[in-house]
Amino acid sequence: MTVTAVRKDPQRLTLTVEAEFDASVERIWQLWADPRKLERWWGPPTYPATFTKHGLAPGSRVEYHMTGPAGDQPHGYWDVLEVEPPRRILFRDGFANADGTANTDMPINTIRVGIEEVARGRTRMSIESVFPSTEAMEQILAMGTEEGLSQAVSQIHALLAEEAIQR
Amino acid sequence: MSFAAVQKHVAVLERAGLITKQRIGRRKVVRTNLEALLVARRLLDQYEELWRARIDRMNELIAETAGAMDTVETKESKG
Repeated sequence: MTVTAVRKDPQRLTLTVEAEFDASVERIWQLWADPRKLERWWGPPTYPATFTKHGLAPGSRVEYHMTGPAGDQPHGYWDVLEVEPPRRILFRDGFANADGTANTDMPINTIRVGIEEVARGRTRMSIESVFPSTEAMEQILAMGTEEGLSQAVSQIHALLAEEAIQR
Repeated sequence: MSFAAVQKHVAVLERAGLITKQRIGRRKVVRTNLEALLVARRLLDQYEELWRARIDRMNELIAETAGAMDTVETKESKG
């Protein structure tokens, strides 16, 4: 088992997952620092991610989109708050508009990544994810899933229906 | 726990929508929103699955690059 610990705090809307890998700290760091590696695991196979802007430095912005089976492309961004290579990243993950600007109507998920050596050639990665509300969690979970796609489609249908009524 | 610490916790829970505060006369009544807690737990479960899937993909990627690195090392040792 790679995942060694999971802690869920429903009162604080926080999830902590710890995993151990048979790899050096540097190689785990590269999973985050190299956008070509990052896009191979961030999105599920049905919604692969493409990182169009990437750099891990405090204050930098990372931009990405995911591509769904129907060609839909939800966009996202990270606001990088703190970085300490190769051990620590703190960032806010949010939804973006198609032009890369932050979609301020959508929620932000704060993610803290810690990477440490537990033995020679064995590395522990911890992910702490904090959500602002349960509604936010629903919206974040729906991104890059079939469910999210069907929600988006039904929203489009609703918009089209409204326009049709206005005409 | 001090009163200030309790107030701080109550504020966090209220922001998360897990409790509601209501003023009844001079008293402030705090109620837990059990349903919200259950919803939060279910959502955290789903989020756990999302990260487990990501970690599985990380593992596959590491296994793949480990093979590539071994090849490099073998070449180096031969050279």
